[in-house]
Amino acid sequence: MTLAADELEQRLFQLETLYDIGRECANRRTLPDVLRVMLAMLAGAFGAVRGVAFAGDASGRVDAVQARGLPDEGRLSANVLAQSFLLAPNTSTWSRHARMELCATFDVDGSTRGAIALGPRLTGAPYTDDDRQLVQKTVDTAAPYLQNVKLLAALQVAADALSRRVQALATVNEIALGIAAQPSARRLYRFLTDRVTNALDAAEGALVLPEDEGWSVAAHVAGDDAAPPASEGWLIERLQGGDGEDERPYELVAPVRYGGESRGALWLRRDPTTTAFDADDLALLEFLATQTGLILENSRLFETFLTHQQEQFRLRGMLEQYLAPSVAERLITGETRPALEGTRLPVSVLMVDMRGSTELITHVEPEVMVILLNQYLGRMTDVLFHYEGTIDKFAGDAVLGFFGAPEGHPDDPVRALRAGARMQREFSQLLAEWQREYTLPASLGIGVGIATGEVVVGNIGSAKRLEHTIIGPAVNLAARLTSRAPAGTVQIDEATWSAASTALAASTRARVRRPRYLRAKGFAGLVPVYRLRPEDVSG
Amino acid sequence: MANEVRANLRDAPRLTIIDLEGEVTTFAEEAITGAYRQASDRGAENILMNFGGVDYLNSAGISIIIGVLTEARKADQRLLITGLTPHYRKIFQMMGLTQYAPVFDDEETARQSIGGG
Repeated sequence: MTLAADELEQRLFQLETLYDIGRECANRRTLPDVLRVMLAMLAGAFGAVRGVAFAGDASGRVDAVQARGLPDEGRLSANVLAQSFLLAPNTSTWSRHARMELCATFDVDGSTRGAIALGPRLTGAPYTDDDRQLVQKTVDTAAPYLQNVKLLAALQVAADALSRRVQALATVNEIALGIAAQPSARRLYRFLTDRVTNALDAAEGALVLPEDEGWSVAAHVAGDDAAPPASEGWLIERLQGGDGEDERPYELVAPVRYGGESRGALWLRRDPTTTAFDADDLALLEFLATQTGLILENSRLFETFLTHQQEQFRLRGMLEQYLAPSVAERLITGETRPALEGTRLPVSVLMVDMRGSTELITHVEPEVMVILLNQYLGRMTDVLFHYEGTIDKFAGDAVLGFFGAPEGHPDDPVRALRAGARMQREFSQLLAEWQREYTLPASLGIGVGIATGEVVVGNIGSAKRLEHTIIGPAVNLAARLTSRAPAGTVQIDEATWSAASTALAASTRARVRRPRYLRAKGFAGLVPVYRLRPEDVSG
Repeated sequence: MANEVRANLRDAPRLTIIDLEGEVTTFAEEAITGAYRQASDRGAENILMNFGGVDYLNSAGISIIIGVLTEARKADQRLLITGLTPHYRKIFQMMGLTQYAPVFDDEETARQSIGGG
């Protein structure tokens, strides 16, 4: 009677174990943990002195193994036992070999299998059929927990992979947002190296780039771990030779490439007291190195563009002092090619000079004089540029310009004539504005002279001071015509008249058909000239 | 935490006592085996495990005690047990533990069983 009651109590304790296993396994997150709980509880419920629990697959791969009371408590022998069962899952043969007396098998998902085996009991009593059934039932009940933790492990792997991708994308995004804020290439290199080093939890990182001769360390980020930072010489020697394949688990190297061409290398080192780099880390670094290659190429292109732009700005600033902005633009873009230095070119030379400026000085303060002169010269320059003429020089209150270089137009004489007439009209307006504010001499006006002919365009002067100018009889003749042009008139030479008279109204042509003849210093005989008023010229 | 167990080591005349408190389940393994090894390191020959403060003990707990017993026998140590409720005393008996680790009503009785003192 007592024996039966004891047996009943023992069975109740074992059944309680069946209930407890489910409760305890539900809180476990890993396969080894679930196996450990199952083995401990079953061994305890039956008073077994030793046991082993494992899971793996038919290839003999052991996913997890737990053992209690094995002779050496060693994982190796438990592993060997597990492997031998997985390869040949014959419970009776295996149990004899493993010195186990009870073996309950389980199948998690068709691919993962395993067993829980118990050795002799402390009491020495053999296991009954009921014991075997109860253990098998308990293992069957716990199998879903094994499946759950396996799924959880798979999810964890997927989550880790996803996390790495997110981390990689976050780093790339951070880099993309940050590169615009880097004011120089050197800051960009440091920024890239810093972000890549952080993304891979490295203690030290370097970006090595090729230079004219050999390589150089473009950026080096050293962490605060105990190891001394790598020397630049060591880094170059290590990376230049593509020495990234050897076994250094705490170092990682990835080449930086663009379009199949080597553009450098990224090197990382982790604190050896932490986790070594793995294949996933290498994949992430290679991904970031590819992005780095792209960014460096973009940066290089941008730098080239910037240098080109700066050169153009400098050139434009210089050219726009002398040329119409539209002509300067065409010269910069290469649309117009300037004539070679010293080339003879047909041009129409225009000179404008103020009449009565000496008297003007006596009417206004010197400061006002400067303002008025600047307004006048500004207007004359604007007119010249409007017709795409070129400024040769300012001389006091005179402006010398020409049409036909560096860009020639078929109608340069007409342009010069229209510019001269427009200058007269502009000056009339300016004069009216001035007269509202100042008392001015009645003689104030401008005279314009235009002569057409071949000139030489070139740099004249010494090595210290060069002047880009034109030289030729037309220049001198334009100056003579200007000095003899009464205020309000445009005086032109025969060549300009011949080329530009078509632009004049027929009545004008009739009125001024006959030239006047002047003596001009430096010119033999009488020079025929035509004197026009602004209203004679259209446009 | 409900699952926490405390295993306190106490030296008494002729005995090294491990006082257990709380629940003896799978979570107790580290605490109990840790206390046992600490006692061994002190050269204890007679180790008394006192279950007086234990609220709950399951099959995993039994397995842990079997593990300690196995190690004690290998090391020629005597393992003694006290503080068990009648229910757990019966379980220990059925599992064969009492064959190798005698159970006593109290600490003093356990000490007297050792003799020599």
